[in-house]
Amino acid sequence: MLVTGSVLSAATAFRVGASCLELLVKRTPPLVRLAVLASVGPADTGKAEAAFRDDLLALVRDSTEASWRELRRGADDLAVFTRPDEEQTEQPPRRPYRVKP
Amino acid sequence: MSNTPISSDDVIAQLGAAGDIQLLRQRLATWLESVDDELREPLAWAFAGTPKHFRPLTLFACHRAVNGTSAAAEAVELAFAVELMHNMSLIVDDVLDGSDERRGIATIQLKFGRLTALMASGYLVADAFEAFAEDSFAVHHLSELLRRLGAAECLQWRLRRQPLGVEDWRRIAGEDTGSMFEICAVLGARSERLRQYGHLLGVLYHGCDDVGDQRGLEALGGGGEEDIRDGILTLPAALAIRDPQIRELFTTQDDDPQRLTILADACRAQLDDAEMTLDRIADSARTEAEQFAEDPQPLLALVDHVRQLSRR
Repeated sequence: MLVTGSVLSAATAFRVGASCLELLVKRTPPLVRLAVLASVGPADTGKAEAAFRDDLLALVRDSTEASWRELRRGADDLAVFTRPDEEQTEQPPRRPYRVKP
Repeated sequence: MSNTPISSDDVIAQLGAAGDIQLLRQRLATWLESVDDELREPLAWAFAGTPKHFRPLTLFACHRAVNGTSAAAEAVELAFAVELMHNMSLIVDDVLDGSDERRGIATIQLKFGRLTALMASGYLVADAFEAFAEDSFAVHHLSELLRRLGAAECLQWRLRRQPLGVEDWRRIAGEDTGSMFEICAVLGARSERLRQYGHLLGVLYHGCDDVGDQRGLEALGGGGEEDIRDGILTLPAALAIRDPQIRELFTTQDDDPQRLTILADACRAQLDDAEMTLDRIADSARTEAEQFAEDPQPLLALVDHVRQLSRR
């Protein structure tokens, strides 16, 4: 169980990192564009500012949601991989000792 | 984009929940026979019209996604309690908004008066809790729902005419409609597994309602004009007020028809962006369903049907 737990923890940590990284790679360029527009744009700076706030908060929320999802997935995997074999649970219950007559 | 109107019963049949919803309707009819004579007529009125039953559909879909079978008697009883709670929230909403119409007919407060409406809402809560008094799991989650709905109503009212954004809208939608769908998902699955799915489905429903209202369609009842007049932060409004001039108009409080017309036009101009936002929310809900349900098909079908609501 220790080995399984360690492997799954590592896999979960990797997946959390990967999903956050993917979001950052996808969302950062438009965010930078909006930041520039909001700071030095010729017009519509107010609009760009509001859009920047929305997109930045969306990135933070999506990152936390993705991390939370991966953590729950990791917990599910741990439950599945450490579940006792079905054969074992299907065996009829045995009495550990016999009561003397 | 299809403009063909689809009835609620068609949607229910397409989701394979006709039998479950029939059981729910029977349960509601039996309950109505047993209520106090003084409130029978207004309570029957609360369940008249054409309810869409999306909340019980969520509960049944989550039950099926986890158990692989149609709803058991227990799930029907929980759906019954959720329907009572939902109708309570509608009555209170109508009293607060001073609405005259709901689901194509007069509201309870218009037909029977404010006192009767408020007493009927209390009666619904009492009977909802009595329906599963022995089920501590359900009591715990319905209590959570009641607390969150109350706080969400205050939050939405406090944040009227504020220069906020899409993420603030998501917070309001998540606590208002999202909490109801969340609890339906938890009760249906009898676990926390599908809570986030329910949350996202509720936010999606709320957004589709906002956009559908803005399109001036009757699919979801109500109308976008009231929200604009009251300064409610809908999804199209959250996008429109990124423009500083529109933001200023949105934060003003008066009944100037010209201001309201400009705001309505600005909101309508954001419908494509709003649809894209809704698509992203729908995608997140699908991901949740695929990752956490034994059989995600009923949940995916429900997302598709809810997503269509903004386009009818």
